[in-house]
Amino acid sequence: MPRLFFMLTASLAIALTACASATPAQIPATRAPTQTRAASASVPTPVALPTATPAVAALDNLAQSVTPEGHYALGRVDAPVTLIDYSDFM
Amino acid sequence: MLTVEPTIIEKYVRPGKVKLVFRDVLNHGERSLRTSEAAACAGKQNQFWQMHAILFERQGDVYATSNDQLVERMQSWGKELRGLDQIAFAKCVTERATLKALQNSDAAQRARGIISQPIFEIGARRLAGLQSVEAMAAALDAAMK
Repeated sequence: MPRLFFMLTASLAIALTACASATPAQIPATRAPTQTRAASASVPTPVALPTATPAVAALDNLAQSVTPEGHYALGRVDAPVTLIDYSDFM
Repeated sequence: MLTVEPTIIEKYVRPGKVKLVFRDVLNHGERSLRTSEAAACAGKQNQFWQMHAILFERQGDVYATSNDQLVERMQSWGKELRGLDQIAFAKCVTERATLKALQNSDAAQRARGIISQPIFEIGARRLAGLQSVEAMAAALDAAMK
């Protein structure tokens, strides 16, 4: 019985040693970087999404409308005072 | 309006005291036309004021852009507006879909003496030239009394 136990223990130790030594040899050191390069080559370059400027962002939550004459208005349609700005973008 | 507009918007428009209406004055040739058309084309998609903000921020860029590059420049700025249908915007700008209306409006305004810019109207009161925040605030406060 002690002999059988010794043989099983020895076999298990040999098997574990073989596995431990085989692991590094099965994964070449150059393999991982190769896979990384391949993966990054297949990923499209991110496209920058539109980013609101602070002036554009400042318009958040403000009502926009069009007057009966077809001009663009900002703010409450029924605001007590109307300010008309005659201007251009130059 | 340029420098005073953000203050007026925050102090009067956002609280609901004032409605701000923009009307184009076409005094600078092709640059006036193309920028006003770009804003109007964005307006067709409910983003007039967003394009308005971009155009005022980049007046120097407009001056530095040659007439034959203006359309391309307007289209590139349109791409900064979230949710803007770029195909529809490009079509509107290149086909000059808003030009006639802008020119008609400008002509009607000139008949009323709007021949320079900026000019502001608050009710029956007309203010010509650049205004300080204080002067504009005083005029608006007076109109609310």
